[in-house]
Amino acid sequence: MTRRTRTVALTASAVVIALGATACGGSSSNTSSGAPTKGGTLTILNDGDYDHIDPQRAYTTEASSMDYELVRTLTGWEETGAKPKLVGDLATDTGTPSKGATVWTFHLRHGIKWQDGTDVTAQDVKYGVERAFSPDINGGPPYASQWLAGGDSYKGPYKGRQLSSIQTPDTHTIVFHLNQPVADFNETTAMTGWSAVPKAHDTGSTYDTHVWSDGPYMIKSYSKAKELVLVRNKYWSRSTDPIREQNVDEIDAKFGQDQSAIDQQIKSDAGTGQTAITQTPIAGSDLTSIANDPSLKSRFYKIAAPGINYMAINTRRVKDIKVRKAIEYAVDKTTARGAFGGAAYGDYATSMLAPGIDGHKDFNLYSSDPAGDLTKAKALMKQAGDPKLTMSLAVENIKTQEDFADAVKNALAKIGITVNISPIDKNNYFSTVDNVKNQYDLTWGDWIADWPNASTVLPTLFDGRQIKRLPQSNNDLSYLNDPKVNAQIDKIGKMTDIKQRNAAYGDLDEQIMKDAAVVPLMYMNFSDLGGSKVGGVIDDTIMAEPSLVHVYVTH
Amino acid sequence: MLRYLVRRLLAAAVILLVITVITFFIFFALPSNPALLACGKTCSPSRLAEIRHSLGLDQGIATQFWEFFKGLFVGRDYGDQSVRIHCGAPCLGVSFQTDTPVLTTLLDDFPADLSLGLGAAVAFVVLGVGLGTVAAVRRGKAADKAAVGLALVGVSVQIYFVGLLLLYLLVDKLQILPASGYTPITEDPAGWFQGLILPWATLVIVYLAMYTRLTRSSMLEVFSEDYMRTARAKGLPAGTVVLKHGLRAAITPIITIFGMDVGALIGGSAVITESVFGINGIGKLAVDSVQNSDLPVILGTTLFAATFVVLANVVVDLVYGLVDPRVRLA
Amino acid sequence: MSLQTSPQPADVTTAPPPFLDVRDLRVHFPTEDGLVRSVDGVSFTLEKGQTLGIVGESGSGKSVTSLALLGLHKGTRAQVSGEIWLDGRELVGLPEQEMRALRGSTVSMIFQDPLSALHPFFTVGAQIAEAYRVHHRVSKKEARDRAVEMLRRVGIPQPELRVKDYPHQFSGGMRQRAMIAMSLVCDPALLIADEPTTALDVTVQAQILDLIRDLQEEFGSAVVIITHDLGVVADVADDILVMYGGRRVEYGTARDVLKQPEHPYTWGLLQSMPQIEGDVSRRLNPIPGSPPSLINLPGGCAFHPRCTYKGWVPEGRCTVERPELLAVSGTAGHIAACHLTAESKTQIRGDGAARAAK
Repeated sequence: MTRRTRTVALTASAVVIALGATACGGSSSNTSSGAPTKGGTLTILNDGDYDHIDPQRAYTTEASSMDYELVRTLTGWEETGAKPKLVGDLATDTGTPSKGATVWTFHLRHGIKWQDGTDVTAQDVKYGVERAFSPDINGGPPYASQWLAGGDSYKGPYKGRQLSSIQTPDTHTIVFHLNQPVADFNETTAMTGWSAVPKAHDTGSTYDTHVWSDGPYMIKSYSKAKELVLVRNKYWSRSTDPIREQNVDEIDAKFGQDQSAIDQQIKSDAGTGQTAITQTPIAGSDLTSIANDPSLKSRFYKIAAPGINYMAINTRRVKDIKVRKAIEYAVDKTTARGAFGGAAYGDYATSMLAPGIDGHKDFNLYSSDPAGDLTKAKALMKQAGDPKLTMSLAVENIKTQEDFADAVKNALAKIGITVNISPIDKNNYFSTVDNVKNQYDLTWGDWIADWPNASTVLPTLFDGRQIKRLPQSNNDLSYLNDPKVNAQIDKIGKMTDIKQRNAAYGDLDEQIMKDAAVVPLMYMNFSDLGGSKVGGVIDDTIMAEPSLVHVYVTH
Repeated sequence: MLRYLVRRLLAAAVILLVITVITFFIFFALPSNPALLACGKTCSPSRLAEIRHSLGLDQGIATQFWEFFKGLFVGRDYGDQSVRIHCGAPCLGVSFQTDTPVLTTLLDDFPADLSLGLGAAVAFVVLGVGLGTVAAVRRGKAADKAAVGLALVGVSVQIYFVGLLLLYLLVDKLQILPASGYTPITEDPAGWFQGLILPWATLVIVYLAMYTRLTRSSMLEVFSEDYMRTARAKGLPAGTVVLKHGLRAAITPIITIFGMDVGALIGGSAVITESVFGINGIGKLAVDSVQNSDLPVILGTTLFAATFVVLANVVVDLVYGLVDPRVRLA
Repeated sequence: MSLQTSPQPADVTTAPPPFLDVRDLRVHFPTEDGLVRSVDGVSFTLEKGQTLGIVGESGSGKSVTSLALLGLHKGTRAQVSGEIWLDGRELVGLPEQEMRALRGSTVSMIFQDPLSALHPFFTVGAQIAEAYRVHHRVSKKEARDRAVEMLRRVGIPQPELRVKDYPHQFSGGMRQRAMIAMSLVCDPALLIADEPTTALDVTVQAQILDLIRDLQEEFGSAVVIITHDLGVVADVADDILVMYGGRRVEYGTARDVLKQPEHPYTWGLLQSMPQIEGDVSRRLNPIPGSPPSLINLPGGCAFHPRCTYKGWVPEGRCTVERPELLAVSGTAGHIAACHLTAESKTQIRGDGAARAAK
């Protein structure tokens, strides 16, 4: 999943420093605990609009988080506890796998209503999932078309055709037939695409502004790129929903203000700032000052993301594993993290699976000091014959990333590797580096799991067969095409025992790290800020967003 | 006069056409791939091809341009899958991102730019010309030094800095003003005004400097003209001499700059101001469209802004003809 | 008239006081380089219906003098001292507000280059009407009628049409006529014409001078004509004041000054003047050198560095001693400031005449 981090490239640091100096000693607020207050309006301030909130097209964390107020998915995450817990949402439970996890059956709850009072049926869910196959309904995750049998040739429901691998034996039962075993399929179904859409209210490619609600809130008005106003859906009932509450009367999302101005407004806690929250991350230049401000502690949300910030080493171009290992030892993660915003940005990573991801295993194959181990690195280079190497490094053309690139350049210079930095337009960065025509020796990348399972990390980033299959959107930036790794990916994919599977993924992570194909840098956090009168915000570690399902505002 | 106008407008049309062609081809020369962006993270070649087709990007560039060009005059119909979207002439295309006709979005955003640009322009030209006149009349005195100093400060600061500073001081800290933003005047005239005070002020601070300096130097030049001495020799009061005879002549170079500024401002050039104050205008739309590789919106916003700049040029020339009788429009 | 050698001819006249009486007028401009003494102790008188020609090169102070008469130095850095008596009122000390009421109505001025002196953005009619309305409470319509009438009087054909024209649509001569119409619109008692014909070609020059003379007779105004060209004043002036370096060097009736010029500078001006009836082959003799710096005037006689005849004066008096304005014997009020003796002058004039006759 991606985080919608768009910013107009401006240098705000001068202002922030100037303002930060005088902004101390503000109100010391407390997120009130206890019973939630009913009523009021929650304001959401984001720097830009959601790409799509059409549930079959949403693929950013902000949009998905917002969609959870509007639509219900087959399964969902209950996150009031210490660890997220998968529960049935539209479905009564988390689904029943059969035939070696190739068939999944869900029974829908009774009494779930659309915003016009009609029942939500299994047929509505089938129609919703089918929509994602249409080229008009683009932008969403690929899982439905990857896994549903016959999905590769199905083009969506608009020409009157249905997908036979989704069956609805009655109005409240839905059965999915998959083309391969998927043990964690019921975690996939917590994504917004696995929600119902009533055919009568589908407006195709313009559904973004017409999403029909079966959640606690429905669209009152939506002016793209300006404002989205949600109001209570009176047909939603707490008794049928294990996850959500309906506390505020209205949710008013406003878009388009510069992130620094948003941070400032919420930080100062004046006017609507008191009842506002931002879903878009705090501007990098503001992060340290906000994170270290004790008066903001209670409303600063630092949420661990199921994600990894890393640098891929192209194994096709840097073939000598000794050189790759030398790079693992030489990279100074402290300066790299400094470029991204320091400790608040995240913890140092030693593996590709973040701690919150099922399958995470604690291990460290290389330097125990995050600043690197130059002695080891130099020794490895000596073993490799002290080659004088020149390498290209692809990064986004923004200051943060160029600072990071400089940090890598300086570190590798110490072991005799000259780094040429290739800054690439931020908006086209991934479409450039994911194209196999553009190969670099070193490539920066980040990845957030679509659900907290290694299955949405390791296969996506290291299955070398995609280099051929997806030449324009190859996520295997290290071009690792290790038959052993590929075989292991297939083998784990077929496992149905979750514990066994998780352990196997942890081992796979370690195996990949032995190939020295990637330098894991940081397990990312995302930081957001809310006003002093916003309560009930839960850390959503699945989405790395402040979850709004229990949100309320005090008066 | 009419012939002049017709000729100018024809020339303007040609300029706009050239801009359209250039924008179109620059877009395709850049390494952006809207279909891939729309497709998402894990995109198979077949899915990519379908999306390319659905966006109309599978046709040749020349064909795409011809379709766009035709659409300007006869309109177009979009979509054959989920929904049909009719885009009436003059059709600037339909956004890849929102499936909304670009013109609809532009017209939707335009009142914000018009309010922001025109309001600020009126304020900065009145204040700038006023201050500049005072500075020229009181040349070398305290008032002149204050005005010139003020102008220097204004010219040196960044919109971004001024905007955030004003927001911080007046809205967040002192809480004199409500949060800024655009409310349609038809909805709430008081809210419209209050929400735009800071954006206006920001633009005024930044533009004021130039107008003050321009007016001052233009005025001083006019003051040394013989006809100013004639005006005094007639026995006209000092005010009349300065304001009627002086300003009338000194204003001409300002008209040119002002016309360009207004054209650019209401065409959406106040991007940073829009962004700082959360005003969703055409400038922001343009920036977003580039980030999204949303070709129809890129084209639409470019054309829209260009239209205003080109029109401003024509208007400036016409006004010039009215102000300076020596100018013959032929 | 007495033959006292006073620098203040006004002092020697007795009542009734003259219409215009300028006494020891000084206009100084402080600059970074020093004090510019543009006008330094100038005195003259003028009666109604009479014309005074002030003659000198550029920088002689003649234009600055005329601006002082209009009080246009008020509110500038210029330091004005001395007295200007106009019809019994002293103008130098007059507050700006009262001076303004006089400008255009009692004292008005015709400027040198009418193209730049008329406002390019207003119609000729509007500019004339404006001048009238400043001093008269009349409707726009009346002022406009007045403008048409004035244009007709200065000889503009089809004035009711041309009143709507802009200055650039007029020819040079017509513009000067319009300028004259504008300055006469309020029947001024004193009209100052600053180089009124310089920008015009010779045939038009004569027409304009005739016009000024005709209008003067009609209105009975006192006229000051400022020029560098003695030929211009020869025809129209009653008195002539020759200025050099901000000071008077010769002053007398036109007849006296032209017939028997007393100062070498005046001779120079006369010799540099083309004569319509004169021999075409006669060479013009411009005065050698350039006008003096007004910050550091040459010591002694300011004209001495350019004077061909300083050798005629013994002991280098010309370079050390400033000549006083002395009455020329046998004339009424003709004064000049030169160390040359009467005998020398007679001799030089004879030579000059002989040279000119060759």
